[in-house]
Amino acid sequence: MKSENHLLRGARRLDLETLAEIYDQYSPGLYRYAMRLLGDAPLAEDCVSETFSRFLRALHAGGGPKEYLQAYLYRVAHNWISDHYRRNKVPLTLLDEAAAVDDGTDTLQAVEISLEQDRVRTALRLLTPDQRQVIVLKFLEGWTNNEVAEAMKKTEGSVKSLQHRALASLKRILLSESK
Amino acid sequence: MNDKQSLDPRLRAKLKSLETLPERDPQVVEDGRAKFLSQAQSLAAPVSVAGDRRHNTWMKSKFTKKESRSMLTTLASLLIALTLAFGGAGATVYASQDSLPNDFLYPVKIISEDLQLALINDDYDEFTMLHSFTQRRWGEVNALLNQGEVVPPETLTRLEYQIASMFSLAAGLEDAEMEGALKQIQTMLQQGEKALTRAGQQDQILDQSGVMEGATEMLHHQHRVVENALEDQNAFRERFDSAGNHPGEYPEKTPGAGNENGAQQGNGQQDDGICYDLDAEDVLTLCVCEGDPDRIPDPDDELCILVPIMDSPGPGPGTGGSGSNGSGNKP
Repeated sequence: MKSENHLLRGARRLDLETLAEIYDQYSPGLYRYAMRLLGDAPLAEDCVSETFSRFLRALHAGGGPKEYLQAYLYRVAHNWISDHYRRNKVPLTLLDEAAAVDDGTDTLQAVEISLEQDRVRTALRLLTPDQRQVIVLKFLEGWTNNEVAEAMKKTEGSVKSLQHRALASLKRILLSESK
Repeated sequence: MNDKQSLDPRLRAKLKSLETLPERDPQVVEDGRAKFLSQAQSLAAPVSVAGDRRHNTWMKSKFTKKESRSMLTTLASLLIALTLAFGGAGATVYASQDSLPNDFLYPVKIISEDLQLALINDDYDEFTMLHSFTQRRWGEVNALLNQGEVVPPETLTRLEYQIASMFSLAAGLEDAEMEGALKQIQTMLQQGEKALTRAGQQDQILDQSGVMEGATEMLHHQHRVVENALEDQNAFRERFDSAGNHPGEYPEKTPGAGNENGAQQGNGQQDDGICYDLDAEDVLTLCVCEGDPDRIPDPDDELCILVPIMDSPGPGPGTGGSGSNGSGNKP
């Protein structure tokens, strides 16, 4: 796997081979990230597509990342998702929604998983964008504090502080609901 | 990881539910990849091939016919007409592009810029062009300072409005484009600050220290705007969206426009009493509108002349060069 700096050099030249490599390397993670937050495959694909499109346009405009390509791409995806959240109101009812009843055990289990995912997504939406990004990158994507800090252009101290507040909020939202 | 270990197990279980994801459709992945590479290929192509993108919306406007020839050629024709209207038979349109704020032809240069901006409907393209024009303003300020001449306050005011317009346009761009745009503004402001600092060390600007102090302060303020915007793009977007400056729109009347020599605003009106309108048939109506700033150019009016816009034989006037003053609402 080529280094990020090497990939960025090729990307700035709009070298197609390098760009294809970048897409192959980062698209699955970005999709996973978007899917976890959005819970909608076509929407997650839109997010990935738009993220790479914005990346290209930024490169073409002489902008784009100087380093930390992965962090940059996740930041763009994060902004896209935050914009999407702003445009679409939080479906608060999901928090109280009762599980659907179905005869088939597998289907019932799938519905339960789906509802649980919706609850967690809704709770994440109730966090601030920064808190949400910290939680997802750190606890779902398994990034280190340093990597999260790079993605968010913040210090590690800020990331830890955001994490602390985010977890407190999540506990309040999710664990009090389940009592 | 310590953080993960310290995570409440119940919360960890909740978050873990998001780890179960349906498999991604390989066909969609392939399509997305192809689309991305296709976009990259088109961006990597020479600029001339991207003509479709630059003027897509413009082609649908009433000026559709003009797409068949270059914008520069049309502009050349327009400027010839405007030069005639100013009565300066000996002055060349080309000369206006090198004029400085105190020059007679400077208003022609400003009008030409306003016209070019008015003919763009894409925010990003408009930002790029405005950026180029704003750099010209700095060039003019530099040139005046180097010559030991006074920089008219109108020029600095126009400069300020152009930068404000760039902020508005940037706020309307997609996130990644906005970041690139903000960095361009940042670089430009840094260059401006250096120029002013350099000039401040010279004796010749002592007589206009008040103006230059104002310019320096303005630059510092705008620099802070950019820095904050780069820190928090959403706040920047909200601020400039709610400021009422729709991207691409200049303020009602741009301060610093025009000088005693003549022309100012676009929007078909100029403070020197000349107004103009370009109709769908490529006919420029130039009228004497003195005393009636709201007057709409009427081809049947005896105070108007009609100038058919023709392709000029040579290359259009360069858009580079130095200064302008005056200002422009968009026609």
